[in-house]
Amino acid sequence: MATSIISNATTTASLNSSIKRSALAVQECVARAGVQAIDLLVNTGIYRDDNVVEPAAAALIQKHAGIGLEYMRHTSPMLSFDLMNGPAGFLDAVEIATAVFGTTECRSCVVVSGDGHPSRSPRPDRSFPYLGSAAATLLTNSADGSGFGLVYRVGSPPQDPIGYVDVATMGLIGRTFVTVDEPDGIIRERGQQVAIDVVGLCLETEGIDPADCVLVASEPRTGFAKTVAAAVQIDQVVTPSTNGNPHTAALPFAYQALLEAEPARTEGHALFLAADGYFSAACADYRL
Amino acid sequence: MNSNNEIRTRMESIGTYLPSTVVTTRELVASISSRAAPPVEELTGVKERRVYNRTGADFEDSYVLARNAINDCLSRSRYTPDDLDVVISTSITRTKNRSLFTLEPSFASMLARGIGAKNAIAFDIGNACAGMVTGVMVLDRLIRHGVVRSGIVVSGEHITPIAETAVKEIAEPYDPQFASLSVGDAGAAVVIDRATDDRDFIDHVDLMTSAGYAEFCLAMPSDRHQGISMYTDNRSMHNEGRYLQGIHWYLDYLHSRGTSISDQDFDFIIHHQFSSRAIQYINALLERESGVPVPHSLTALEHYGNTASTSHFVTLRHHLAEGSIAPGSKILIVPSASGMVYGHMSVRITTLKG
Repeated sequence: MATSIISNATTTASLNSSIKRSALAVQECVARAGVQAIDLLVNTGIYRDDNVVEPAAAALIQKHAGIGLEYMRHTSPMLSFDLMNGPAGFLDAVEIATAVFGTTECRSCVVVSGDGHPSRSPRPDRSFPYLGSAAATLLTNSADGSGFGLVYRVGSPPQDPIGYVDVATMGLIGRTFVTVDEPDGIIRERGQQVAIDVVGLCLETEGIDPADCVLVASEPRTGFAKTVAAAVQIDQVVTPSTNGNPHTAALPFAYQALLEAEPARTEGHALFLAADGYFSAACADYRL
Repeated sequence: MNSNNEIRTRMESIGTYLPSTVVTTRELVASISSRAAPPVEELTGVKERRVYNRTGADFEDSYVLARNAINDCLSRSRYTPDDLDVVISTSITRTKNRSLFTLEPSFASMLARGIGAKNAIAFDIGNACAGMVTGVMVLDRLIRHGVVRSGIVVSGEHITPIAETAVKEIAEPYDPQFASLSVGDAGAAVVIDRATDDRDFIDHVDLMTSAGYAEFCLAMPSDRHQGISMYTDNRSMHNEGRYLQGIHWYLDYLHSRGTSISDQDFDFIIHHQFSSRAIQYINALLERESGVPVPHSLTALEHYGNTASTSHFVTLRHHLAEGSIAPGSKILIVPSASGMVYGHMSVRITTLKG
């Protein structure tokens, strides 16, 4: 049994709320799949409305999506929680969903991703490097052989925060302010190499011919994914077709681009590459 | 493995870190600038709490609290940082370098790097005060599915800054920031691995979210003073209807598995440590709904307050160290959190040391 995608929805609608935007993506994803209930919701988004730290953003998204509002006796309940790990959070969530499917009666998991500036503004300050966006990806366990394989990871995170709110200097604007320090120079070069290494590791360990692959990749900066693909001899690359970096939602946006480019494709391998561009990268084979 | 040859997990080791500075509830309430000081100790049972050290290089932020808890946990573990396959951080508060509330990279990855867990997968899980139990549940599934063999779930809650904000902003005896006065700082960590026998194992761990109540408790930066604040609609959040959500689900959960709470034969129950009055009320409801006497309820909130996501594990570690949990005891751990999140975790403990 493997974990496969049965529905995917993406949006860049502002709605003046990252929570409401994510809820909209969940509603569209669930409607496309035609399912009535969801067992598990994992939110991998990081930057959110008002810098809310409690409850989990996942619970707020679940509420605004209007699903699992309260427990009705003798029915199957729903669980939601946040999982935060940059763009790689999507693949972490896939791995967790696979483990949950394999050990419990849970059969559906929606992975929600995407970020928004805490100010809720569709045009936040220019130093915020991420596109306001949201995606929802419905997963289930499939018996037909399609789906995700193991997740491979390479890299080492920084010792100090790069995205943060300084509570000692934020004054009264802590709900509308966030700092994201983007490294440059040698760290960028290392980030490119880390991404190449993790795709190479996945190809070699899984015994996959690069000619059978499409690289479904995040694009932390222009040309990043093409450089990775060239280094590992993969000819076809899809990245998010957005005007900006959807960050934690990069992989669902790239997958959506693949669906729109080749809706009938049912053979070969899609290599999902999640890279922050600086420190770490994760990769998993998705058998189409 | 159990008798069906299924992999089971256990709590292999547990550790906590509690700052040495003690602030009594009387001292805290006396510092409220408004005359409308609420009766915190009478309503919550919290007599005192530990508060982070704020002096110079010894400053205790979430990272320091979490790292110290990991060190305490690994001091009683057969594992070294190199052995760990996963590090899961579940803190609500994620302060590092004194004042940076961290969003990226994951807090877990910085902790993994800090302790030298070079081979570990690392990610953060956020689920309010149910975070550590949610982390244990995720790790339980990853181990049982064979993805990993062992890992650590950790939380460092540098949460008393919300009490500092509340002291400045509380204006009414019934105030949305009242619950902020009951919190305490703490770190907790637990290593989970495969159970090797019937002496120590996790029998079940599950959680659910009733999201209709998600906005009854919200924490975010204050817009009146510099600092983080928490606003709770206590009357909506803490009442019979809300508590019955978790109780009914647990009874249904056991029923669907062909068992009942009387069959479980629990020795102890540990609730989220937010109010002794509320815990007594929940226990009375559980007894009424199940028709079975509730096991002895362990608390530590009188000493440490509500330590957020660490509270169950701080309480467990406290009573293990006190010697009040006999080897072979079976314990029901009951998370309850903003979201609203409900759950249950059943553990048998024999060799676990506190």
